[in-house]
Amino acid sequence: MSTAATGAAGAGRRAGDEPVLDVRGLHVRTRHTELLSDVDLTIRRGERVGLIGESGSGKSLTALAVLGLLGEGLTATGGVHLAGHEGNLLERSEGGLARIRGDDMAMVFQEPMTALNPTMRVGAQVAEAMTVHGSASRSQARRRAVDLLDQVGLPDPEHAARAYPHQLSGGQRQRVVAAIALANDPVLLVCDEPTTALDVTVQALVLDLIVTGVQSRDAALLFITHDLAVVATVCERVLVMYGGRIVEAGPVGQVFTDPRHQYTAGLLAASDLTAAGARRERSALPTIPGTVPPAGRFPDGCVFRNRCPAATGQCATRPPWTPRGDHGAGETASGYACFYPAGGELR
Amino acid sequence: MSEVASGEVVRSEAVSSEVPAIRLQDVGRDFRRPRRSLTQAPPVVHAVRGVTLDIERGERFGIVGESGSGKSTLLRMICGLDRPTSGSIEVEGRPIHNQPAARLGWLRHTLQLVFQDPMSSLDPRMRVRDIVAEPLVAQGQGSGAARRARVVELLEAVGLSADSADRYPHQFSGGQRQRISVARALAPGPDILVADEPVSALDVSVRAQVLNLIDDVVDGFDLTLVFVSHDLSVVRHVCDRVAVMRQGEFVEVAPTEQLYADPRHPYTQQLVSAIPDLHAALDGRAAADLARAVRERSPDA
Amino acid sequence: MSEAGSPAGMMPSTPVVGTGRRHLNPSLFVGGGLVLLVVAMALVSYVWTPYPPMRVLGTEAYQTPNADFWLGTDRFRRDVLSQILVGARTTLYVGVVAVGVAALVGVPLGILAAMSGGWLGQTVMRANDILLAFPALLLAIMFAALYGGSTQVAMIAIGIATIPSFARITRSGALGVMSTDYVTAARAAGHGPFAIALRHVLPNVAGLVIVQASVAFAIAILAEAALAYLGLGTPTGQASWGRMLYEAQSTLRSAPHLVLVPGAAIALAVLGFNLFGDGLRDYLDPKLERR
Repeated sequence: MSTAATGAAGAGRRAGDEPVLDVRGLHVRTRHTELLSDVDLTIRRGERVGLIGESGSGKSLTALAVLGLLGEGLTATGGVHLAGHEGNLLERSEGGLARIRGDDMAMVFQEPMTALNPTMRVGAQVAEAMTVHGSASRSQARRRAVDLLDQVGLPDPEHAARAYPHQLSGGQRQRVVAAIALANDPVLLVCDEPTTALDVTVQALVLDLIVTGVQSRDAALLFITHDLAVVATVCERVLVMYGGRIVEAGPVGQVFTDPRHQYTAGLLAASDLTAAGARRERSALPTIPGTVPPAGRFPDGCVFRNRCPAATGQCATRPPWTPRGDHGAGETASGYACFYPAGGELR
Repeated sequence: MSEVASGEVVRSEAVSSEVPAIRLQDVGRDFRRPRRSLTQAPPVVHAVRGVTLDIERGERFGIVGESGSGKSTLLRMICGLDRPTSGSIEVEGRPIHNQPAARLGWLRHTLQLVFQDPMSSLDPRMRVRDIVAEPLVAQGQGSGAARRARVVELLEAVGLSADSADRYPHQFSGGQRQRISVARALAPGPDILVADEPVSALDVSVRAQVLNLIDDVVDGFDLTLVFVSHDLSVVRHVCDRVAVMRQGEFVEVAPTEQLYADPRHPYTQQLVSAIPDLHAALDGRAAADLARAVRERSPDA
Repeated sequence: MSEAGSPAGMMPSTPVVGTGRRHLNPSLFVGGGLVLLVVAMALVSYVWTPYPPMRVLGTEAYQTPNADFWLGTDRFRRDVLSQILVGARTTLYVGVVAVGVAALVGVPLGILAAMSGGWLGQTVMRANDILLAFPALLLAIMFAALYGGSTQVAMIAIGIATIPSFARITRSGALGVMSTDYVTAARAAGHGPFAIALRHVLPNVAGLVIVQASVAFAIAILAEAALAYLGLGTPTGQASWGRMLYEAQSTLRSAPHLVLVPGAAIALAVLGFNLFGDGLRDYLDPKLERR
């Protein structure tokens, strides 16, 4: 399956590899409402997978559920398996999860300022990531921290290691967060909107750093964003989420040029500002009618049917998953859940 | 129209008899940082430096810049919410840079604003009717009944139902709140609409709706649009002409298509090449390529 | 608009959540009930008490609650229930006046400090800090020494000492409001500072002020009790829950009900005002509505 979208593919990847992350039938609910419904998700070694969706789609919730960081009052059921760790992560104690988090699976958040401790020097924070998991002694960790800060492209890493977070720019802080996430060579890196708070030029550099960091470690990447162009730039495969469900999945090239789910098609059309002539002719942009409903107010059956131009009575029942092509990571890796798939006509 | 007064610089290219909607001449704004030492003078930040610009009536003008570029400061001065430390600003030929707030009443129905954050731009304790009517109340326009009728008219113009008037902002989604914001801005019948990152906080599927709305009202009400954004692709879609701002200065001002097709200033080149683009990505432009372009075209290099 | 033809009618014109109706939350219900109880006691005392509250009766001292004296009698052979009823007046009087003084001065000062900035704002807040350095009780004792111990002096002293907390909390809330876009929008609409203070700042800091008022009310009740207990507030011969505690302290072991009854009254009133403040804040917040 050549995806065309990316440059250098992960070097030592073999077909049929054990998946690094395997999520099966993940549900997340509060006492009253279901927020995530039947999410399947597999990422293999060295694979970069994007998870896109609008606010309220459940994309961040998926990441939090995988990492075992769900807030009070939220319960997750289903299966989350990480390579090298026995059993279902959802059934682990908080202590058991804490040993894995920051070690074999790490996370980069949107807001670099709140992800760092403002009272601690950044070098010490990177070093702490290693000493906590016993992967390095105190002095080793200090030295490696400076190396890592150098790797993520901080100028004068010796000096930067002694800085406090507020003395760094937003982009530099996000590099430090990335250094902490990569400190223990995780097998899975989860990034939740890591560049949304950054300027365009800084975004380009941070995206590059994340891709390079993941590639050099042959790690799996789960990259969450609302920005289609960013996903296409960073990932090989993409999952489209809406209303707490994955509605479409597949290689980036396939999903973005030939979408099947009506939501994906609408989203692509609405976001394509650079379509030729759009500006000069002052033609109205295509839109998806209405707004994303608040959690728990999505319709039964197909979650998109109240905004969908193609919906009929049939859509009141839940559309089954239709696999598309033959993807190495299984049939949930590529396909869609729609009764009236778009005919592959993106303009 | 005899505004020859402030013109040492007579523009040769603008022979048009019409006064520009907005004229900025060598506008600068310095901020004094808090004192760090008892003996040294407090440091001064030059947020905006030497900006000169005419925005013609009916034009859609974009200002692009990254955080800290001074675009927000410039915007506040254009709106008469802040005063420049040097230079002059005229709106429809009348100076606003040297006027106390009390004498800018006319500006409040000439020029109106739409903000970025749909959460903080509407007072959570006010009903939509009072929010939309606020500019009318402030300027003492119309009776109670006339205002109520105007509010309904405005809500319908931005695609909201009349019964929205009785509700509170939190009952609306982000896109709907931006519609309310637009309705409020249109209330006093302005000539100029200033939009400060109006779609940055919105979801993709809603962004298109709000961009279309802005397009509709600018056309329908014959407005001059000043559109500020960090997102070049949005500005490209909306504007006729774009200024790129960096460290308080305009580094390049050009018609939109020209700026994208043939950026002259190294910073513009860097900015244009750093935008992730769906089509380019599908053609194989990876993160490493974006990053390389940013490094190669650094204006400081 | 271009969003015609949506089949199930999720049109953008439909607000996405809520009905706009407000509901009586449990805090408001319980707190309001306790506050009403105190008010009712004070009102009843004007028309009826079982016995004249301060009169020495021809009966035994230290009686435990019984059919004739529902809450017993004290060491001066006075009826406890009658004193409690009349004492509710003192309590409310002290609370209302002290909080009124503090809020009427403190809230405008806080808004002024937040909106003016510069030297004026700085001066207001520094003066505030100086006042804050005086504990309420110390100020009350000073006032009592200067003007003699009375309920009025006590509550004005408590009120003045509470001004800084109102000014401070109002200022911090107002600073937040001043930084929002809706205030910028109001300025761009042509509203002057006074209109902005009334239309936007005050309503949006009201929640903070209400909670602060309920806390201050509770503190004022306790402070009055403490002053009366020290013999500096409500003079002998007037009913006050604090004074009742003061007079009962020597018989804590032999007649515990004389401590328990006013103690419980104070505790319930304090609890009631706190709950009432929390509940009222939530009730007035349009974001917290019936779903």
